[in-house]
This record gives sequence, structure tokens and C-alpha cells, in this order.
Amino acid sequence: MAFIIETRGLAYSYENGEPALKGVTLGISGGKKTVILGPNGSGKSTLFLHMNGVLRPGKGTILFRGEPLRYDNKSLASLRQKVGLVFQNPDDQIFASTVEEDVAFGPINLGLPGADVEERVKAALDIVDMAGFRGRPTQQLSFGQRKRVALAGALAMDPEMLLMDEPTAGLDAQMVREILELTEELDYKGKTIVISTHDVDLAYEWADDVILMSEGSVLFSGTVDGLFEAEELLHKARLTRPILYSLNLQRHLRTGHPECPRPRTVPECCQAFFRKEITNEAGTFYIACLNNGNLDVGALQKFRKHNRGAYGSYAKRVSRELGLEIHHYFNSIEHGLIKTSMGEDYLLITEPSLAGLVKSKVEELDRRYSCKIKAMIIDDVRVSGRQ
Amino acid sequence: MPSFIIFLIGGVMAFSLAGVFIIALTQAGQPILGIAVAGATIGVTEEGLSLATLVFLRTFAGLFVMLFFAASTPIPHIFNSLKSVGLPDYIAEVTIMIYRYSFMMLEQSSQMLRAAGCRMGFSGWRNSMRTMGMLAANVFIRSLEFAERSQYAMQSRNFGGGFPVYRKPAGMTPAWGLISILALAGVYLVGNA
Repeated sequence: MAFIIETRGLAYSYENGEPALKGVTLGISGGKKTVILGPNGSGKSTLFLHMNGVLRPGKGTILFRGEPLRYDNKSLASLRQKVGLVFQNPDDQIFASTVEEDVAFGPINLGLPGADVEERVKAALDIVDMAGFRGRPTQQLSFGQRKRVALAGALAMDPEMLLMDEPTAGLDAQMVREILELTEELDYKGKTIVISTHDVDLAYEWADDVILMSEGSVLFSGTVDGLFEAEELLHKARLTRPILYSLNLQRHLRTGHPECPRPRTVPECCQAFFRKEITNEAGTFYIACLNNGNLDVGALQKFRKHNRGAYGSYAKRVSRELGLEIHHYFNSIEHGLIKTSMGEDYLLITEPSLAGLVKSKVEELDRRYSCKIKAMIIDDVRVSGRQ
Repeated sequence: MPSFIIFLIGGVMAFSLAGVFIIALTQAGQPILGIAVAGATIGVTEEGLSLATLVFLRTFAGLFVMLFFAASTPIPHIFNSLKSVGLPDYIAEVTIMIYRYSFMMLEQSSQMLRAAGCRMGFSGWRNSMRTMGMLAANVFIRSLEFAERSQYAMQSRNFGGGFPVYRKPAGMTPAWGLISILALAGVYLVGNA
């Protein structure tokens, strides 16, 4: 397996002599969603600062694409262009007086020409849905908005890999979902995403790989299932099992149903838990691709009010701008899977580049639970009928 | 913000009014008004009055222009422009950073003040002094940590020394030059009419 970034025997102490990292050896695979799980003070942020070349290891080495990091200005500049870092506290990161100035900071430092900077600023602000706040003074923004601006600042560097330090800390529930969907979108578009968190439920649902850290050491590195099976490790790292994991375990113990495959989302739970109760034939999951914002509103009306959703930053923005009657602006894939498994049809509006992701999610559920949900991509939502 | 500027102008003008009053009373010349106080005469003279008016109007105009400039031009723009007339880079950068972070420290210290107040930190003179001392020490330590974290954040976005300005202020056009010359000529003509 090819690691995009790798550390070997990494050790680091802050000035007060307290060791923050004690021989960390780990690897992060390209194109996967990795969670670095650990309680507060376990060295997650310090590790991120090393991966971005901000801190130099006391001992050990870091390899990016197999090459050890070099610390001259030119190598660092090229590393930081490829590895973006979003800080936990947006106030540490944002320092320009207006939103666009802050997002443009990275691209200008890369020495890009003005038109490219503009393009990147626009794209980054669009994807975090802050395009309407371009000229706003940064101190007037809410915490959630500042968090998005901080993310846009990192995205504007167009990195291959994005390190996000506690991206969901301090956000309301909807913002957490939006950030997670955004990371999925970025992951599907080819970026490697690494999130540090102490939220086990988030890690369980979101991650492909997980690395467990505690007191500056790596306790576990591998798949999510592997981690939560090892309960003594969780105790050691002051973490608990995810709710869905525990529920599934109880189902296994009480009914004798096999424990695996473990459901990791609510639709999967529904399939695993209520198999007998689902008697209707499954509905069809329509995936409508937005092309240039052309949309026939009449097509929407064929679906019930609660059976329409939007997925992806572009589709959400266009639907809001057009004032479409969309019911689910977040968690729409989950809602759609639940609705269709109960025999209703669901319409999900998304952009062409994400249609494959949605389809694969539907097929994945179908493959694991053979629930017979049909996924259908409609190229354009221009269904006949209206002028 | 506008109300704050009016407040500032008002405050400074009140101060200048007091000075102007003294000027009006202390100039020798043709008396207009006189009050006898204990054998001496305090009077307003024609020369005094005109000098006082001049001083008052000049103070107001100068203050107005300066505050208008300060309120409408972002600090990074001012210092980036000063760089082009020879101000060393490092002075410009340090000033921009101090400006930016002083606001953050101000916000933090006001939060700490409030929090201290919630725990009876300001009950009585002794307590207040002790609280303020602790607060000052704490803000200082925090500012150091804050500076370190901010430096990390800037490094991670390839900070190379220097704060680039993304949206450049509008440049000087011939129209602006013309307007300035016309305005000056107008003032001159009105003044000599």
C-alpha cells in the first residue's frame, strides 16, 4: 500500500520539556478518509504541524510520497502547497481584515498571477458557501462562518491532502453534517482527507482508516472495525464505543443475528435491524445532475415534499439561489436511502461529478443488505412538460 | 462607526473650543466687547475674534480630513503605500501585525474582564487592583502563545514575510488630479473674494 505521508519514529518535545510525541510511526494512504482519534492532549495537533513542515521533529523522519521532508524554503513551500492544514481555532488562522483577503493569502504567497488567485478564491468560497461574504470584515463573522473561511483559506492552496484539526469542534449539528459532506465531496474529487477528532461516533461513520493516539504514541492503526473490537485500547485512550456499534453488538447478543457486517449509518441500521418489518418493494433513487443550473421545476413536483434533497456544495447553492422546494439540504443521501427502502421514490439533486458517488453509496447499501433499491442517474432535470 | 467618528470629532472640537475662547480674549486690537473685572478690562477684540475663527475652522478641517482618511482606508493599504515611498518592509509588516492582533487581544481582555467581574473580581478597590494585575499578566502570557500559534498558521500557508494586498485600492486617475486642482483653486478664489 502506498502511503502519501508517513512518519517514522517521530519524537518531539515542546520548550517546557514535556514530550508531545514519543516515537510516532504511522502512514496515511492516499485517497482515503483517515481519522486520527485521540483524547485532548494526545499529540494530534503537534503531529499535524509536523506533517505540514511547521515543526521539525526532534527525532525521526517524515516522508511525503516516499521522500524525506527537507526544510529549505523551496521544499517547504512546495510541501505546504500539497499538504493543507486547517487549524482547530479559526482565529489562530484568520488574520486578514476581510474574508477574500484572507482566502487569497495562500495563493498570493504561492506567487500566482492575479487571475488565478481570483479563480481560486472564488472556487474556495463557493465550496464552503461563503461567496456572499467576500468583502465582510472577518471579526464580524460567527464562529461557524470563520471556521468555513479558515477551510476556504486552506482549500485555496489546492492541496492534494487536507489535514483538518478538530473540524467539527464547537459547531452546531447541521454545520457538522455540512462539513462532513464537504469532506466526502473533496475525498471523492481526489483529495486525501485527514481529520483529527475525539468524537468516536463521527470516526465510526466517516472514516475508512483510523489511527488511535494517546499521550503522544500510536496505540492502533488500521480499519475502524478493528479499533472498536479492541475495547481495552479504547479504555486506555479514554474513549468509548460508538452508539451504533454498541447497539449492533446488543442486537447480536440478544437475537443471535450475526454481528457483521456492522451497520455504520442509520440507513444501514434500518436494514440490519428491521429486515422483517420492511415489506414494501423498494423505491427508486433518482439522482438528478445539474448542468449549468438548468432545472425543470415541474419535475420536482412529481416527488413528495419530504422526498427531495440536494447533495454537494454546488447543488445546494444552486437550489437555494433558484428557491427550489428542497426538503433535505444535509444528510440527503441517508434520508433518500431510508425513504426508498420504505418503498417511496426519492429525488436527489447533485452536480454531474458527484452523481457517481451518490450512486455508489446506494449500490453499496444494496450490495451489503440486498435491499433492491434502484439508483438511476438522470442526466438533466429537464423533464418535459414545462416551458 | 459613523457615530463613533462624530463622537471623536465632537470630543476634540470641545477641547479646541476652550483654546479658541482663550485666543479670542487675549489678542490686542480694536475692542468690540469689554468687561471690567477688578480694575482690569477683559475684552474681545476684532483681531482676536478673526484669529479664533480661523484656528477653530482649521482645527475642524484638519481633524475631519484625518479621521475621514483613517476611517476609510484599511491599515494594510496605508502601510503598503508607505512602503512604496521608502518605509522599510519590516516596519510595515510589524505595524500591520500589531494593529491586527491588538484588536484580538483587546477582545480577549474584555472577555476576561467580564469573566472576572462575574466572580466578584471587582468588589472593592483592593480586589480590583489585584484582579487587574492578574489580568494584565495573563493577557501578556496569552499573547505570546497566541503569537506562536498564529505564526504556525501563517507558515502553513507559505508566509514569506510581507502581507500582500489582494484587492488593491483604486489607483490615481487624471480625473482625481483634476478634481483636486479645481477644489484647491475654488478654495483660493473664495478665500480671496
